[in-house]
Amino acid sequence: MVKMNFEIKDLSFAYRRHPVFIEANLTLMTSGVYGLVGPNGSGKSTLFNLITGLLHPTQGAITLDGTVLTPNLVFANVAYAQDSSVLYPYLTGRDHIRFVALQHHVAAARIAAVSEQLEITQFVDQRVSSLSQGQKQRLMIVLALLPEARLLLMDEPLNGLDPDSVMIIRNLLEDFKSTAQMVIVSSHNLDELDKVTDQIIFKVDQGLQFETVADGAEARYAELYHHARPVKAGDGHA
Amino acid sequence: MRNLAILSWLRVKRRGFWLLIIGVAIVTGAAFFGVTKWQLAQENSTIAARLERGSEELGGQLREIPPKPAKIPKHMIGYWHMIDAKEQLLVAMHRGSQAKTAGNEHDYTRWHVAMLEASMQLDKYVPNGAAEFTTLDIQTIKRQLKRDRYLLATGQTVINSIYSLAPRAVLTRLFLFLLCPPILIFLLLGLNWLWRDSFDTKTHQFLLLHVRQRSHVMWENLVSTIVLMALFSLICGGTTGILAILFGGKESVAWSYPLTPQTSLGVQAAILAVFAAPIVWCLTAGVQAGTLLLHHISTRIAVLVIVSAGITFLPFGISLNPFAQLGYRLLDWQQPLNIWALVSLLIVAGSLTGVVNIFLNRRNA
Amino acid sequence: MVRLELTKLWRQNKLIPCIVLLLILMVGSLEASTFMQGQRLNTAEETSEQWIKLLKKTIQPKDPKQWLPKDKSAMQLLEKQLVDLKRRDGMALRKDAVEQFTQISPMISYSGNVIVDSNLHSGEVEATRKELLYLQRHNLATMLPLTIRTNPQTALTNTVSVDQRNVFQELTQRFYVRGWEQIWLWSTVGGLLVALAVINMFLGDILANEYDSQSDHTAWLRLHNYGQAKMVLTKLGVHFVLSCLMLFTALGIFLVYAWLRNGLGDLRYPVQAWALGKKVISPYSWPTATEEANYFAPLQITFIPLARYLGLFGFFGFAILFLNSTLTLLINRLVKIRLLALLIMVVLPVIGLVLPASIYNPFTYLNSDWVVSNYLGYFLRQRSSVYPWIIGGIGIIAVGCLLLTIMPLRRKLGGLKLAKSSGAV
Repeated sequence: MVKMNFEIKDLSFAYRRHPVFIEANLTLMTSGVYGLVGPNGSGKSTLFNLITGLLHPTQGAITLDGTVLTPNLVFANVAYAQDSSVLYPYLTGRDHIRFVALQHHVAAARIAAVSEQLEITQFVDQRVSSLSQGQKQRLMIVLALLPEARLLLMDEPLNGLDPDSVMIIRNLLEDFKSTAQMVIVSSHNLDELDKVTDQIIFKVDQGLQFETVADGAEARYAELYHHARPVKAGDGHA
Repeated sequence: MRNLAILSWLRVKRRGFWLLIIGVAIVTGAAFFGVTKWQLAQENSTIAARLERGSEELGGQLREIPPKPAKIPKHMIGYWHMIDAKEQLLVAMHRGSQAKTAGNEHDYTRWHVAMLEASMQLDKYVPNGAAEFTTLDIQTIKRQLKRDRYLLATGQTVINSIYSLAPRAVLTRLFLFLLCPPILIFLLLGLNWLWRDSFDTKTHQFLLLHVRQRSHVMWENLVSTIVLMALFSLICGGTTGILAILFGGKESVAWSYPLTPQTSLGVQAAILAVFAAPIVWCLTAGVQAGTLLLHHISTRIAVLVIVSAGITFLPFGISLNPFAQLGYRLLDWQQPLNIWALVSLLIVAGSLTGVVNIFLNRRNA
Repeated sequence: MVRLELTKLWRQNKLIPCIVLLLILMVGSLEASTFMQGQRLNTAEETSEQWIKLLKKTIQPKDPKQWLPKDKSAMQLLEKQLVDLKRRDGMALRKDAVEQFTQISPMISYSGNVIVDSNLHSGEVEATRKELLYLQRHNLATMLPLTIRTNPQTALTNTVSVDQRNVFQELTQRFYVRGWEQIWLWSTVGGLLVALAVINMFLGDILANEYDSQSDHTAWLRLHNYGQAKMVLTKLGVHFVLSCLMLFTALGIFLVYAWLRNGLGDLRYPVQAWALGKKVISPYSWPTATEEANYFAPLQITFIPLARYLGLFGFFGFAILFLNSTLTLLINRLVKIRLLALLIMVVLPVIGLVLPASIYNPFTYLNSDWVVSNYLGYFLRQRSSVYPWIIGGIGIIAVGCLLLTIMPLRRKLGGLKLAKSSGAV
């Protein structure tokens, strides 16, 4: 565990008249793997987009080690494995990898190593449009891993993966526990999430709530979301 | 930037966009040549018919003239000079009409000079007397005669209006056509496909996440679009030029061709070349802004075309309005482009780029 | 399926902007006509005043009391014409013009030029006289300013000298400032093609957008038993009905605006048309006058009421819109790239505005004014009206486009059925 300071302060954001965050707060102080859990449409991807600057908050700030994240800082410190619709369908996996590697000055050896680790070498020269959902997902993760960013965001990385691929990702996440990187993984697969971390950020109402769940994320999820709750901004601290 | 450019090239290559550009450029170039040839053929037949009609009217008048006496009385000398001028005019118009019909442009130019000289003579004896047959007034005759004598001396042929198939002339007009803002914006809506393809889908998120500054994406797209436009123009111009050389007829037009007493074809083409990159920059920035601001493609096309056509053809501040300078020249290519309009063009282009940069940085992807 | 299509188009925000754009163009056209008419009338007043002053100086003897009766009456008529022009009184101006035609040298322009001087065919002078008589018969006011009738190719066939070009324009340029008249104007300047370009800007990708982003959105429709042929026919129906609806909605709103602005005008107003008729004898004395008065023989210039003209134009418009709908589907079928399909469909009608009239130019047959007035009949050297033939031709081409759009799809389905029946699927 390495000391880091990732902080979300008084974050507010709304899609037109539909508020997603109202003065939400979150502080993560150490590297490691964190889960991000919330029902469908609650704003998990929105949070990742806010962190990476793809969306702009109406209020509040997101900082890494005390510095507000700007596009330049995001480029240098944040990697984001989002959903695969951001890939150009007519380009090959290698085209995407080449671009990201050149942009972040990634050595060829690392490209080879990560590609091996995620087992994408067989289909890396195929066009994205011809890949399966799971293959695209693995390609997205490779692209996010290449720059060795300090903060890694993974949006539903287990979606559409076969059991072998799930195992690859699980091993990968296990490895992150001992690195200096902070990884936030959003997932609905609470079983798998439980296997890699007990530190979960829950998206509750328009706020964020950080908890260490000793009894597993599923039990806590049931408590939090299966009953109506009053609207209240939540605070989370690690 | 270099990596972005490589990615753009890969996108153009993988999607087959370069083939599409080449195809559309060839079709456009060929269509431009075809339409010009068609317009020119119509214009030539109208000219031939008018000359024929004028010479018939003259013939009708001259038939009623009694034979020229061997010794002309003093007071009749002017009259017979006028008759001589009319006879010369008749011959010149008839021969000019024949040369035009046969497509012999050098002969036509010679007879055109003869016609103008005879008209000058006639106008000496009967003020504006030639206008009845040639439709030309005295000022026009003087101006055209000066031009035509120069053309004759330099081995060139006459361009009657804006249509010519001589390679240099047709190419200059092609570039006037391509750079006419409402037409150019249409072209750029297509050629700036890279931007639309990114920002009308979620793929722009991939780009924005992997650049240090978002403005890099904008600048790279600007350069790519200018390069693609250059490629398009080159192929389009090449097609028109080759067709003009092969099937353009017997016109001879040099860069020194005087479009007006002040401007030659070469100067016009050079000024046009100076305007080319800034106008493409300006309108590309317009298309970029339109893509970021207007979600629906149809609304975007409508707004961009209407705004550019409006700025081009509204009759205000034409001399310093670069859009108007380029737009009106398509219809009236003889008038020189005002080079000072370039300053306002650069200011508008710079401002639009600034606006795009702001949109790009404040955009909720 | 129809509802789904309409919802898609509504959500894509295509309908209202299209109507708004059409409306802007229509209102802009009316306002431009009104503005230019105002300018022309003011100039006409000035030139008329100057001309009358000049003319008075040239009449001998100098004293108006001693003028010959014909000079006196000619001058009175000119002064009356000026007063009526200042009052913008179309009815009185028509009466003045009819009276002018009883003179040896009728002057209906305001620059002092007699109309027979401007190298016009006597056929055009005759047509103007006929039109004035028509107006008189129906007690109609003339459009302002009063102009002579020309045929669509007058400028090409006449020898108008440089110094007379302004006079020629002044003599012939009409301003259509009332509601119905504007529609008539659009017919003469290719307004239908402009409308098609605008409609296509919004509906030109109706089929291609299903294949956008390399994914075939029609696949799930096929799963719900909506075959591609059925989908194409539905899209055709939606495209055609919406094209008509959008155009007529914009037109309806425009007519209300025009009614409030300058009025709608009279539907009995005479519109020049060409029909088989008896040869006319020109009262003018130059040698070719009678021949030129019968320039279009065996056709003759005749006048039909504006209502009939607009009715024929309306039906022609429906036919063109139907052709446009089928052509859109065919182009979309062939060019599956949405942007390219859209741009092609916008550029296609615009090309019609720049190509010269020729028997080889298909747009010549789509020139609504030529078709409705049967000038196309003269152009093609026909004796009878070409209108039914053109409508029939458009129908056949439209059906051809539709078949071409559906046929390959049917073959595909046929292949599928064959495969099913043989147990391969």
